Amino acid sequence: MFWRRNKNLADEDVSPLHVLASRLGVERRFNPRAKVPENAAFVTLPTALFGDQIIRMRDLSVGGCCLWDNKEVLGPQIGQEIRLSLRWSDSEDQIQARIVSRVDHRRHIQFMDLPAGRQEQIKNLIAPGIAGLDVRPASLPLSDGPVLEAREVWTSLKGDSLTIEDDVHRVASVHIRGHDIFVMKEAWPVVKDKCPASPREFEALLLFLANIPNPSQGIKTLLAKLVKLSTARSV
Amino acid sequence: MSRLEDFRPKLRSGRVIPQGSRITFETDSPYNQIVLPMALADLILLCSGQFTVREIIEKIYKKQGAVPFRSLLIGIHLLHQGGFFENGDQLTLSSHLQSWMEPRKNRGHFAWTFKQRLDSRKRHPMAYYAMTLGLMVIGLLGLQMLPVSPIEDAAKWLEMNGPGEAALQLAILSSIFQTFRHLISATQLYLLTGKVFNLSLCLSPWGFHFRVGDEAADLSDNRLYTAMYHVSQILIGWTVAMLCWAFLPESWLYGAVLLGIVTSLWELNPFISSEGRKLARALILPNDRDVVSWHFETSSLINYVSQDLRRREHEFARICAIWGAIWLTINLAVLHQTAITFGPAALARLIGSPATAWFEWIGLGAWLGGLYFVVQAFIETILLSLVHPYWKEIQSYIRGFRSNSKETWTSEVVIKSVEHLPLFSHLHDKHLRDLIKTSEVIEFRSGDPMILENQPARELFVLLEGQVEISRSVNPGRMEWVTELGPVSVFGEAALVADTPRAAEVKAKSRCTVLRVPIHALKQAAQESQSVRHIEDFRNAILVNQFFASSPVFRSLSNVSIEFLSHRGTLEYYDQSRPVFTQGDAGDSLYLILRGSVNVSVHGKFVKKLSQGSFFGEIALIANIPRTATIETLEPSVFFKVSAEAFWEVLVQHMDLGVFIETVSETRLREDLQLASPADPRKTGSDS
Repeated sequence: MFWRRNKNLADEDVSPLHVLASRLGVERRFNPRAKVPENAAFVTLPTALFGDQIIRMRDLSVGGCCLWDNKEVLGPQIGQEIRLSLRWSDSEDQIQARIVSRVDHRRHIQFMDLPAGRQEQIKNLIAPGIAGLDVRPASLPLSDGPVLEAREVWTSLKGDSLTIEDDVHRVASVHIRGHDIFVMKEAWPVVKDKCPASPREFEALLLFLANIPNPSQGIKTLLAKLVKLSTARSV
Repeated sequence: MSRLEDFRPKLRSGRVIPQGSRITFETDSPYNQIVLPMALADLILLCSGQFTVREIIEKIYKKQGAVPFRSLLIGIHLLHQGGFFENGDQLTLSSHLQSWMEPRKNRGHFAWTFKQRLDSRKRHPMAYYAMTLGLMVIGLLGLQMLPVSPIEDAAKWLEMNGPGEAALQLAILSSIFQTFRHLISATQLYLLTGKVFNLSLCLSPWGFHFRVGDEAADLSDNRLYTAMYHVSQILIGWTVAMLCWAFLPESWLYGAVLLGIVTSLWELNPFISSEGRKLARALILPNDRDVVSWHFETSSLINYVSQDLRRREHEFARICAIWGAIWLTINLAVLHQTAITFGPAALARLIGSPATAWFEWIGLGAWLGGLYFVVQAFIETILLSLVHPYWKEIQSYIRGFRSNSKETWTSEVVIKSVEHLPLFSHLHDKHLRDLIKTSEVIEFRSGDPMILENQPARELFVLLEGQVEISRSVNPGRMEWVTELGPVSVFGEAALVADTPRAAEVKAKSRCTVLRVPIHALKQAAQESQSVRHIEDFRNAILVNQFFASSPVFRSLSNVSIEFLSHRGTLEYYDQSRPVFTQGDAGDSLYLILRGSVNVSVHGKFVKKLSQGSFFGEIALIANIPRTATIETLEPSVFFKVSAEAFWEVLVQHMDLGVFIETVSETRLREDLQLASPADPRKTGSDS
């Protein structure tokens, strides 16, 4: 519109190339993997079962997953095809899978016939984890530079961020794909207008934090606290 | 004063407050605040005065694997414009990029700033609209006071009051006018933006008055309101005159009218930062956040980035030139009428009693000063609008007319021009001199053919001056443009490899001077000079050099950067219909097309063709994402492959290249989106 002149820079995309590339469907390599935090109880992500044995999932992508088979139930053969169950909150899928590699107790599994609908579902669920992969620590404030009113700041060029606060009530603020989540001391995380975070938002937070590369002690502590909350919730 | 890349930004002391997707930087003394995207947090935290902008970019690249050049540039600009840099005056910027909080250099006036900023959180746009509309209406009504013959009325008024009293009345009225004017302006800006800057008491040629800066007008996000503000300020003299009408004694009324005339003329002056000029800028030039071209005015790359802005700037300059000519003509008419009305009596007094005619001396001085300004501005306007745009052509013509190329291009001059070329840099000095002696300097006029297709090739050429165009026939009677070359570059080098006929035609695009080098002499020099082993090395070096000389993008890089890239890349040869890379592959290099052409396809759909002189593969590098397209050769092709590491080393040294590549990438991605929508997600693939 002719009469509009200035735009608010704070709302502009810093990296429009990522936005355009994601619309084109080439933002990241195909089938990126998101790490699943250990000991966290998820309701939205599927649980992997072989027979009636639950096998912990270490990471998940649209193409497959990595399972921690410390009881050696899946067998040692690389290339072996297996029948795997993925248990969701509302149903269970039996899918054909192949063991494509093996390192110690880790079994890298390729999904061979995962339905398209589930692929899309996994893609959406792990998106926060993928966002976490691009996050890096902001530079530390220098002695003769401006003072940072937070303990740590982590950012990505796509606009996602994590701030570990120096506040009496608030532990951290996270911004993932346009949504803000605030982690409070001794309370459930909240979103805008102080509403409690939904299970999906909470688990998005867990995945985001778990996938930040080279996390600091602050992030590890924060993640541990949230994992404990998730297990307390499930009990 | 430093270039942007060498500037060491140092923020004033303040606080950085992260807030979700945004980060706020706040200073206390004076209070000021700016909100930027969170992704620019590194920029803010590194502005401590220790690192140059170049070093900051390097750090961001090493951490994130990519750099948002445009956003960084806009962030730096906003920080600078907002006065957040302690050392902002060290940065070389265009003259109109001035900081609100830096003390303005007072030109011809003294000011005491008693309040830097008034800040209210609220805006009142409707109140502003009503007030400004009212002011404009009053101003237009005030125009009725404009006399039919103002100069004659001024003479009568002077006669009635006497020169001394008239001068005193004008001084008092002018101070009152300016104070009222700035009070009105402050109220308007406060209603519109909630902010007012730089409130001061000022002693200037207008008198002693209250003054307020109009920087807050830039904060308005509505062009209509901004335009109304400037129009009301142009008419402000008449507005104030109308408002004062009821209160002024009759003998003072003409002084008010005179001030109205002078103020309006002054605010319509296109040669200063007047309200009229600001109005034209606000209406003609686009969003002032598009600061890329302001920071890189001398970069030819910006012509590709901001073509629309460049076109509008030229339009703006033309409008100002025409407007300036009209304004100067009006002033000449005023000076003429003044001379007729006052001249005879004044001259008579000056001649009769020069010692006591002090008022006449002042008047004569002012009149001569006005005449000088008008004539000088007139000549400048004509020179700038008619001569300057064509200055290069005029120079080239004069140079061609006056000098003989052979006299200008002596052996020493030629050697100095060509010795850095890869073709000649391999040769020892003695062999190079002997080679130059056997070569010939030839001049071509615009349009002259230099090489014809299918001619035998027995020499190569070095373009020393001018521009040439290379084309080849694709069908009988139809020529396809291949590329253009500028100085200093080599063409016709195919003769170096084999004795085959010419595969393309070369024509002079402008007046050219070339060095014709016989091939047999070059080969002999190469053999005698033991540093050259293979003719193939020569050919490769020429291909690379030709690309950098002809590419409009890379031509503007420094010689150091070109040499750096030339030594860090590798030549790759592809047959026809060979894939170079596939969509989704990891991207680790940029490809420059030295010869041939390629097909670009996205999700299996053809998007475009790229030919010699162009490049591809940049999107994956600049955005740190997989390949966004599949590239396949259309004919046997030669590419110069530059690694990501080398690519980024050059980008951090040339921010304008970074901005350009980013803009090209964005344009290409948008085209891809328009032409090829994404395919369905892949079915199961192995990625575990």
